[in-house]
Amino acid sequence: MYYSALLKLCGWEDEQISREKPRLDEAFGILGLGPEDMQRAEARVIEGYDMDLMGVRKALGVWIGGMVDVVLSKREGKRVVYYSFPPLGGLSGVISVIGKGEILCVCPEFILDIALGAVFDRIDPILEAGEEKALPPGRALCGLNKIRIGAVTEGIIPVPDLLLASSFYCDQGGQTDEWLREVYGIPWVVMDNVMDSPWGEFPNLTPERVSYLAAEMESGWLEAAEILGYQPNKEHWAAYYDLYSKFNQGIAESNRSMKADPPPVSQSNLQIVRFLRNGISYNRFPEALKAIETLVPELEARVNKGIGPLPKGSPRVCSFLIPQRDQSIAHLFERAGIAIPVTFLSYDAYTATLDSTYTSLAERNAQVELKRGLYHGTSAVLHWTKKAVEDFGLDGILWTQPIHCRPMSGTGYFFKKAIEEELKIPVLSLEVDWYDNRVFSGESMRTKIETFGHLLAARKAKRKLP
Amino acid sequence: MKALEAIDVHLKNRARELERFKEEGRKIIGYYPGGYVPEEIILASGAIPVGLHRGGEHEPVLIAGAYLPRWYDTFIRSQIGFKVLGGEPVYDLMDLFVIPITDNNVRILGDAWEFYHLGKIFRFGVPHRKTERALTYYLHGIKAFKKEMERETEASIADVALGEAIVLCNRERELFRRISFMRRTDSSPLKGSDFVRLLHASLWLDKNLMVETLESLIGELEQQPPPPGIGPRILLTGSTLAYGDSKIISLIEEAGGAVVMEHFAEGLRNYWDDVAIIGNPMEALADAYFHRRIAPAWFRPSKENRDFLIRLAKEFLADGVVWYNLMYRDCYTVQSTLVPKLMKDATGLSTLVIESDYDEEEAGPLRTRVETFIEMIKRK
Repeated sequence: MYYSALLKLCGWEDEQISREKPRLDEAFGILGLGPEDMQRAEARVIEGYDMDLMGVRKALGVWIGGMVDVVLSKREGKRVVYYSFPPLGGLSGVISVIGKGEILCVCPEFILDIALGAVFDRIDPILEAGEEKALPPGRALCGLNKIRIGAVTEGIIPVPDLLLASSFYCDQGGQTDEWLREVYGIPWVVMDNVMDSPWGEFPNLTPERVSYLAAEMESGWLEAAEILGYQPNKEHWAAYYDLYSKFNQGIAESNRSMKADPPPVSQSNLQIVRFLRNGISYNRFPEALKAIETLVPELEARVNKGIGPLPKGSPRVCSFLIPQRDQSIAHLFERAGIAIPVTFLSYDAYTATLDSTYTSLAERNAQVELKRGLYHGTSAVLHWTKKAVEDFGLDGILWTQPIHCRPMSGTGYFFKKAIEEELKIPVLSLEVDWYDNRVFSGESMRTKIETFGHLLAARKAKRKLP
Repeated sequence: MKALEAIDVHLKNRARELERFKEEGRKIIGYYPGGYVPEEIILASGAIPVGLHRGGEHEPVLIAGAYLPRWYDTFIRSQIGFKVLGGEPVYDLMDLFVIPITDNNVRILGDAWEFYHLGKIFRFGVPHRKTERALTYYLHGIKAFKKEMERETEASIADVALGEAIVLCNRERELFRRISFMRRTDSSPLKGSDFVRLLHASLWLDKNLMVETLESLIGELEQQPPPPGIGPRILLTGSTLAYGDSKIISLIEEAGGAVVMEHFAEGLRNYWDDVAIIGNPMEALADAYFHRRIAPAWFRPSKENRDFLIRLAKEFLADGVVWYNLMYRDCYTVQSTLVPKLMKDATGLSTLVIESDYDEEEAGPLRTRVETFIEMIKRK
């Protein structure tokens, strides 16, 4: 089997490869992935990821399996539900729990960006198809949404039976769903809110925002239940929380390891493990849990030995997200001697169980979503980033400011001023696209990154002087 | 026409007038245009509402680059630029900037205004769905805005005053509708550029003055002989048509076309529907400004907006549609990929999609595209 070597490299067992062979043959056929693609993918994962870590290898394997699942879903008689990134309020998770075996509830663009993009380097034609159909190039539109539309219109992934849309954090995501809805007549469930909090209000929340979001989530659950014919009950929610809290526990433990000096792994490796929570289907979740459970002791062992990709004492920074389409940007940071022990989306605020003062399930979920910051507003993201500086002993911020993401595009400008003035640490903001390498050049940033690395190292050395 | 000449004079004098009001202790309240800030609340408080709708110039866009990345709507960046550059009286004089948060572009304007200490702002949220709870949320927002105005002016706003302001604004809306609807006939009595000039003026000028001027304009229009036949009738739509951004209308008119209807954030949304004058005035404002407002592109779903465009094209006997989109206003960009086919299927009309970043260098290529489009319609 021309794909065995790659899949084994990505943590698959022989038994699993044999068992899934018909599915793999069919899915790779649809995707047009042949022997040459497998060879290239092998080289890419070896070059790009920390393949000494079985947890990382398994995570890559889960993404590939997730891609096979979504490509074949309709052919295998499943009903298909798509949600967009970042997911809101647990509805996608609980649908996964309820509909196991019958419903595939995934974020397809995230799966494809990592599996077809980062692993196989075959995502560009999908991005171009999305641009041709709905999201024209040169307008700073999101690669994830282009992948969603491109993959559906090209027949790579099926037309879904339901779209779970959030309409307030990402305008483009809602528009993408609207486009698919208009063209294919797909039903959708919209969960609305308004990001109208004044600057600096966080960590306080207005009760009206919580109530409105909670009511929207609750009605979203009911609408989805009616469309899908499933009504989530307390047991389903408990199962969802149990499953995801186990995964989050693994993330929290890996974050603790990342506080070590040196951090035991490149953040980009951790990112593909962590995001398994946000993209794949319920059926793959046991494998995702296995990946994080495998990774945690591997990281602890490295911490105990005091090893990592960079030497002890290397400057430490926070970023928002590491561009994941390929690993060249992460490697640029490391080659400049810069360690990234934490990103905003890996920070505790995004994985820990946050206290809620509300009693109803919807209100609790709404409050926690807002307290995590992303759905609250820019000043909330700044709040948690400043806290990460303290928690992880950071020397600076290397902010990967997205070109394509309207909710986050402006953060780099604000954060540079706010953090440099308040925390007296340097901030370098780089314009990138997290999901689409065609719109920026990592190499053109090399000088900036290297200079920033020198600056951080010099500041750190100066602090050590008697 | 004398009324239009009067408008120009009033606009020229408005800055000095506002300065005088300010010296007298009256509050100048700037607001983000787009149809979601009830001017009635500002008027009832005794303050002076002014819509911040300057645009069309490249320098403010460039200056804004020091405060925001370029990946935001050109009009949004312009607002930062006009404020920072100075010299635009309204931007300098206002005591409070009211920003209804609609999408991420408008949100970042509020963030930047607060973060860079460009002035005092008040924001409230505009939900993206037309539901009862969304209406309740909007109502909560404008009630908070009313309280803010009471704090600002140190006076309570009585329902009677709100009622009077509603009646005044309704009168202005009614007059705008009368003038606008005259364009539904074969021969439009007023050029599109002149009608847009009126719309823009209404965001700055005193309401009573505006009403008087519109009344006298209607008198003039009714007395003048029917104008000769006009060129291809164009429905002009898109995200924002700012005060000072005259390029697209000029190009259409110079190419021989006639803009017979314009649907923008500061276009018909402001005059299409009246506010009810019975019942609780705040609830009536919420109903008119949110529930009955024509939903913009960032609504979920935004089908109402697309259907409304088709209705406008039919009612105003359009021969073609020009979709004028500012760069990076993502909701409108995505809609611009849907509308041409829907419009063609429903009406047989062609749609020309144009984007602008208020850059002077756009003029040449845009002229060629607009002229070709108008020529194509003429030959049909």
